[in-house]
Amino acid sequence: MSEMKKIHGLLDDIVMEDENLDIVETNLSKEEKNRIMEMTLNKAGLKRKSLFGRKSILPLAAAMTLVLSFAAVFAQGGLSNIYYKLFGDSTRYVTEMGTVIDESSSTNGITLNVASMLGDENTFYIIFELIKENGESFENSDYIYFDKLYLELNSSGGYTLHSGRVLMIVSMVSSMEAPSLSMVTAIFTVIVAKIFALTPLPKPSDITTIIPSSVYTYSTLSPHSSSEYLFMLL
Amino acid sequence: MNDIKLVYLLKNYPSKGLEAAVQQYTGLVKTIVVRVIGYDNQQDIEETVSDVFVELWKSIDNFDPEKGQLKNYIISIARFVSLNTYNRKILKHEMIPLEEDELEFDVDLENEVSKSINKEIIKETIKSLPHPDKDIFIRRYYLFESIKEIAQNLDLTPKSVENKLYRGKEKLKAALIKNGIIL
Repeated sequence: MSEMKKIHGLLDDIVMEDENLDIVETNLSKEEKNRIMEMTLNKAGLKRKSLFGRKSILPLAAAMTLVLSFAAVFAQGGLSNIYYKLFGDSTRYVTEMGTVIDESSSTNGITLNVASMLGDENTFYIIFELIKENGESFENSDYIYFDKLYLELNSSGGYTLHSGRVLMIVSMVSSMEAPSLSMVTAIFTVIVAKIFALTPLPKPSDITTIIPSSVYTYSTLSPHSSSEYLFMLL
Repeated sequence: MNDIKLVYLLKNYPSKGLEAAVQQYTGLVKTIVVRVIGYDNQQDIEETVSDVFVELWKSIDNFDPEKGQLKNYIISIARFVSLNTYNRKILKHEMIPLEEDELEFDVDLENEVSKSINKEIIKETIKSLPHPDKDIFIRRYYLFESIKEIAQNLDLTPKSVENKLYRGKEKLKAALIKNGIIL
């Protein structure tokens, strides 16, 4: 015979699997959540990890808007070294198609420069440069969050690329000799009509593909945003 | 993030899984923890919340998505871990007043065979309680919601909630005995 006398004790070890348990959730500050996160991972003997070995998060959470104007879309050359990493030996066929954009927007001490673009009506490769002001260096591996990122391409059929939250990972290039980077370059791969909302929407192509080996898939950590973004870092 | 993806991460990429679980369910877990151990010590609260997630990770193989939602599984862990903290620290916070919580007879939940049979009887008996008695009972004794909160959430007066709880408790006792609970 046990000494169980309390009603709440009857419910220990019971999982109310199929009940609709309606609970008002407590709001936590970002700091509190971070403390709990660190505590949890420490107790579990784990450390924060990512595909790229994240070390820190840059506190950049800002909206960026770029309005890009260019007349001869995908008709200029340039940035062949960057394209080479994406297209390999086929670069000679594609460099002539790239468009130099060179439009920037800065916030919280970081400049996002859209250096160049390449693509057709279905797929864009957008080459970003991320530059810290005052020549500061990015750490070996930083995360940069953009709460909102808007790219309006005025002269290319009126495309408007909207993104709720974009995460970029700044990663040291293994072949570089410099111990730190004051500027990094990233290729942001966009599959039109699948990831972003476009205005006006082009007809999605069933055969739209991207080079599998050059694309990393990442889901944002935010519970409010589960969209997946494709990008490549150089 | 949906349950399937979260469970997959917890099983295969624990760091990412735990990060996602904390992001998604900390508010829920903290509510349960605070109801059980009280507001007095912020450090105890955070420690207990993190214990819940570690326990979730350790026991994720026991979660069966066919049986129910991950949220309910996490609530059961939060309840279990919080009560352990409460008992271990001999806290003075009163979850439920004794006169309200007293069953007035013993139920055998120690002998493994009796425990298994009794658990099923308890679950079935709670399920059979009429609306809104079942909801009130679960909120009070499973989720440790205060009478004031229950009244607000169900649009009832506190007095009405108290009456329903009292009647529900009597019904439960009668049903447990009728259904053959092992004493």
